[in-house]
Amino acid sequence: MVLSNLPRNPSRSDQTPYHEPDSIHLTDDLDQTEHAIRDIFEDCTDVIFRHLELEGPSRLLFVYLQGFTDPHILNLDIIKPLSERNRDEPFTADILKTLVSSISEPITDINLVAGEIACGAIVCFSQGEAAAYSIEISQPPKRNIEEPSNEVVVRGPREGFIEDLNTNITMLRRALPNPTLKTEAFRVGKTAKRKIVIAYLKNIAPVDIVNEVRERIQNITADQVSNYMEEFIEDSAFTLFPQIQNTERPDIVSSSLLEGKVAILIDGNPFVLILPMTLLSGLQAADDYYERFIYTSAIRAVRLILFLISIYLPSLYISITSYHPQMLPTNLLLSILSAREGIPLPVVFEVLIMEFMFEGLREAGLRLPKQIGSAVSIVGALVIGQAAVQAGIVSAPMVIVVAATGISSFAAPRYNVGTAARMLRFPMLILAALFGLFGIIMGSILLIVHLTNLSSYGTPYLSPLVDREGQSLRDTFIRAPRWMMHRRPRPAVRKSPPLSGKSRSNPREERNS
Amino acid sequence: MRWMLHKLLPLLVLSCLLTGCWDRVELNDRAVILGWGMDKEQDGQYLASAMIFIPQSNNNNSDGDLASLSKHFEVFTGKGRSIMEAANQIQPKLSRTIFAGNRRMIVIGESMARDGLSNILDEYSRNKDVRLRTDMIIVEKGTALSLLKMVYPLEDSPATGALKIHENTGGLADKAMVYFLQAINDPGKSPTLPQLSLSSKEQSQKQEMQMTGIAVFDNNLKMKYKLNVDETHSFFWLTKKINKFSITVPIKEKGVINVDMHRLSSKIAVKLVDGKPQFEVKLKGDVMIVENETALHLDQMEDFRKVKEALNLKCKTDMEAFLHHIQQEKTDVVGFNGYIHRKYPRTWRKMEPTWGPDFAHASIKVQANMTLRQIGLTGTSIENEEDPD
Amino acid sequence: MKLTRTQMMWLVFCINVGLPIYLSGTMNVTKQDAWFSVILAGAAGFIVLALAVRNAKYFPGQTFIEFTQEVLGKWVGRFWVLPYLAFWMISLGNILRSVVDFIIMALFKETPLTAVVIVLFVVVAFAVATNGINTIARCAELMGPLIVLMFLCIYILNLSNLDFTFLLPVAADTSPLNMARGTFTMMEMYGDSYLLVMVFGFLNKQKGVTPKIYVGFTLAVGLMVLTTTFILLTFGPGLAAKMQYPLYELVRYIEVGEFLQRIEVVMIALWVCSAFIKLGFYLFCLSYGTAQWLGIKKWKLLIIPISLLAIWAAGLTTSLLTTRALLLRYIDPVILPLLYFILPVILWIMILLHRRKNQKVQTGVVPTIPKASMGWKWSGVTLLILMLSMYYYMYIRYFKV
Repeated sequence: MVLSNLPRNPSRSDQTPYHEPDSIHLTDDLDQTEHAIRDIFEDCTDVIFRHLELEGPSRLLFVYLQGFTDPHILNLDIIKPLSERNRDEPFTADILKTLVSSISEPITDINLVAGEIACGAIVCFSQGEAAAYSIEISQPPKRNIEEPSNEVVVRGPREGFIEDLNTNITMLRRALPNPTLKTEAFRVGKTAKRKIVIAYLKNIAPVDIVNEVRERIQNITADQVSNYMEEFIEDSAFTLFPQIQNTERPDIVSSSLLEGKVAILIDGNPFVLILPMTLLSGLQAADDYYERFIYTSAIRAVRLILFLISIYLPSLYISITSYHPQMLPTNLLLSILSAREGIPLPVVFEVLIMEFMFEGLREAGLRLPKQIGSAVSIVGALVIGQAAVQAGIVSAPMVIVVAATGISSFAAPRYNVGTAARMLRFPMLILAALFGLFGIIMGSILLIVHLTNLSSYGTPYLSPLVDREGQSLRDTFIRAPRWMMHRRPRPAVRKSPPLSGKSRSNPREERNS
Repeated sequence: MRWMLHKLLPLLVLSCLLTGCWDRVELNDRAVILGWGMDKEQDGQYLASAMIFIPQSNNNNSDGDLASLSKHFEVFTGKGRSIMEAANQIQPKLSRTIFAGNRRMIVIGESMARDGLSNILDEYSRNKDVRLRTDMIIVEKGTALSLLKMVYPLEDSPATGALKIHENTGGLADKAMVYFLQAINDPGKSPTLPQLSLSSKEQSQKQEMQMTGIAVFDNNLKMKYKLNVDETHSFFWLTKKINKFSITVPIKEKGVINVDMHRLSSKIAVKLVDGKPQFEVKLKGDVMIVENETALHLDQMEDFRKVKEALNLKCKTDMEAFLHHIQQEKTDVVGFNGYIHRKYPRTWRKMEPTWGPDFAHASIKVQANMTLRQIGLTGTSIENEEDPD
Repeated sequence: MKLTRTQMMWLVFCINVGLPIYLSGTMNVTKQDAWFSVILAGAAGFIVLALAVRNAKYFPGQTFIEFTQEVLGKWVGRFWVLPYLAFWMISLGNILRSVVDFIIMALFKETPLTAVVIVLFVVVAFAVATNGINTIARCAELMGPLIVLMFLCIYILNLSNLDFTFLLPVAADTSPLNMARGTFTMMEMYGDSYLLVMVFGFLNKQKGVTPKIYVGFTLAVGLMVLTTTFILLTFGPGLAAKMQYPLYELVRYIEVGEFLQRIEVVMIALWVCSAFIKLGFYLFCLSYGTAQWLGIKKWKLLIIPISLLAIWAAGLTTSLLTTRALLLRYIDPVILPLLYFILPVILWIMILLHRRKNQKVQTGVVPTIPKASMGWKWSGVTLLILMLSMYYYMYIRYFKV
């Protein structure tokens, strides 16, 4: 791995290394335990210690984080029934289990206990028992379920995932009510242990892929993970194309699971990762399955053409105007010729400048507050659009080309696939400037070669266009009516290549260790 | 690191070629030729003229409106002892590289055409920039230069004007060169090109151009003679290049009727009698009467029949006149040879060498059978109705 | 590296579709009957293809290099393969040259041949180096349907230009001798099918692959026949015979209305793509085959010398046309039938005899590179160079103008 070859120099690191503390066992003395816990949570004002003296010898201690647990629920569901129970009976864990369902097995390691508390659970200690129980009734603050703004549909469910993992799993369950929907939980991250759930349908998702996902997730050694854990578990890093899809929509996740894919839900993140991803799934929108199939097929053609335009239009413009003007119809040639008369820059630089400014506009508009956003677009349109043409710095056809390209690059339903196209346009530009059409063709062949060699968890990235052996093409460039798509697509026809150890470790982490 | 090298190697090699760009010519450094003319001067020298587009910047124009561009053309000429020499004289006069990829019109002066086109054609079919879809036109009794230099008010350039005139008069304008080349490659068939003539407009300095027929070439690609407009119609009719035109039909002692003919079709059949080919030409078409200058009552069967007979006769005599003309000149422009070839391939092999003279003696019978489809909105001519004929 | 059956079909299609570049030679001889000689050439190619399948199908998981050694014995097998390797090397140079000639004709004026050759071949070598035949086959699977689509578009857009009298009279002007000559001109293209013996062993499943291969081939020949017919119908036999790239002219001739014109860009792009697949296929067969033959484990290393040799060979001949003349006089009538018909038939007979003795059939094996002694490696290289220089001597002796 290239990254691992980076010089490891701990002295340059600005972070103190995080050491996994040694495991310490709990004792049966409650005061001692409390003391140990208080030591760990020193200077943490939001940790609550709540004692409960029961009749008899029983003494209980509940430790939890303030914001995570609603005190009323704690009072009503646990403390009140505990205090009202039959006093003669000694306290046992079974009693707790009858009160709340989400209670863990006894935990004896104090560090694990601390971890549970940090994750928002209520931990219950009792006098005379060298174990603790963690109860998950936490209800951390969360936002309401809204329609995701990135993936709006005309028709279809209007709910999107939120940051809360449990809510997300619930939404997924509701979309896919089947016992074979498995949700395996992991805690990933060295410093911040975040909960990650992989969801798949047991009898549909290929075992290879599920195992591979498990393995790669467990190999992650980063400090913390979030949506960017994609980078740790994808197949190839040096590519513009995303190999893991992300979505905020439960319906997309559920239909992907039905296709045999695996979803990764990450706590604190509304984006759910879906893998394996193929290029074509990057060009499909949720709407495709809600609208009528003829319309959808037509729209897919439009999308594909726009995708190609966003890669090729500027380079085609360069190569045809400065290498092969015989390929332009006469009237068009004369128009471009007149428009270009007096423009001081060669076409290549004209294109580069305009593309650069366009990307700048996009980037600036993205970050600005909404109120100022309109100002940017006005200035952009006026300065780049009209003033530049009138001043004779760029030609009008150039503006049209750049604008058309810009619009096309946003037509890809998945934003990160559109990004790939936007980036690809620059190497194509350079090739076109060097060799004209021949350069573009060579660039495209290189691109195709690259795409055919890409894979996502053993599934060819261009699947089902390549390596199709009896695979249906009914949901690719066109969408056949639902009742015709009776064959389930196979994400991995072959066994995945040995990918173990391929999950990338955090470079920073490696330097520190 | 090896992995990186593996991926970067092609990029490195490609960037070594960065010094390339051999063929890159900015659009503003190209002189776009839209029309090309060849003439033969009286002193025996060749004159090549290129009509070049002069782009005019629209930057001062505050609208930035492309549609309002005024298009401007300039003709540059070169003179030389040979055609190539003349053509090569043009580039030294230009500050930009000649670009012929959009040349859709080649104009040839009559003197040049009479001198022979074989030299020109080679370049025109070898140059890879040039498309086969090019129109070629002969300027009757004039020079190509004068056509290219004239001002044609309807179109932006006289070359476009000539092309569209050709298109409108029935020829398939941009296929002219292909038809010409096909005829050259068909031994026995004589190539033809359309002909335009220039005339001065009355009361003004400006010139007009007009389609005046077809120039016929012999097998050495020298122009031999021309067909007039009526003959051209017959020619197009027979070769299925036109499917409508208008004629004036004289009716015995009664005056004339003007008709539009459309859906024209023709059929040529051949049979060998004593080793000599006999052709039978059948003409068909729908006719619409547009003007009746006679007193005939077209709604009556008898008169109707008279008109039809006159019409058939007119078509037949026109066609016969045309055929007679080409037979006299021993040029088979229609491609009668092809009909023998297709039907009697073996006999044709023997006939091929002497087809020119043989064609002159071949018997061709013409039959016209037109259908009167519409007589217009009125049955009889309004002004002649009361005429007691 | 594993091939699926569909990939095999498109691979066969792509290497045989060749986008009719040699048509003009045929049309010169057979005029309006050129389409028939294309069919005849296709039939001849079909025989070569069938022989390739017959030779290779009994040895799943083995390439030509391996199974000849199994059937004929180690040393005879080694010498059996030698002329093939050397001849493919020559063919690679020729194909490369003809591809580049077309590219330069269509797109360039002053760009030097070497630059185009190098750029093109770096791309091809890169593709082969990434994943060998798998990359090439996947590309074929992607581009094949596009090429078919392009041909269909050309046909449809050209419908208005057709003149059916150009096809008549049928079979009247062409003597059988001329027909045979015209057919021969075309046949060279279809000889490439024999290279299939090199990749047949990579198939993941053999069952049902033969019909697919034949379908791919028939599709390629069918398109070629249709294209020939369309060229004849559009330009007439006389004019078409004079064109160097009749298909290119056909595409340039398309003009529907004022707007749909000058669409040759698409055709050039797809043509280069199909050429890319053919070149990649050749390069893979050569480098993997030579590696197996010499026993060099890292077969990808051989890509570099073979590429250099091909680039050099591409610059050797003065132009496509002179090369064609040379090929027609010497290579086609002697070497092609020998390598692609007579020897394969003998090999087939040997295989049948061998199988009677030895009935073991392996399945699910991928071709591997056998071990070889240092001595053999050096003598093998020497032999190969000797054979190659023999071929090249013929070239330079007779063809250098």
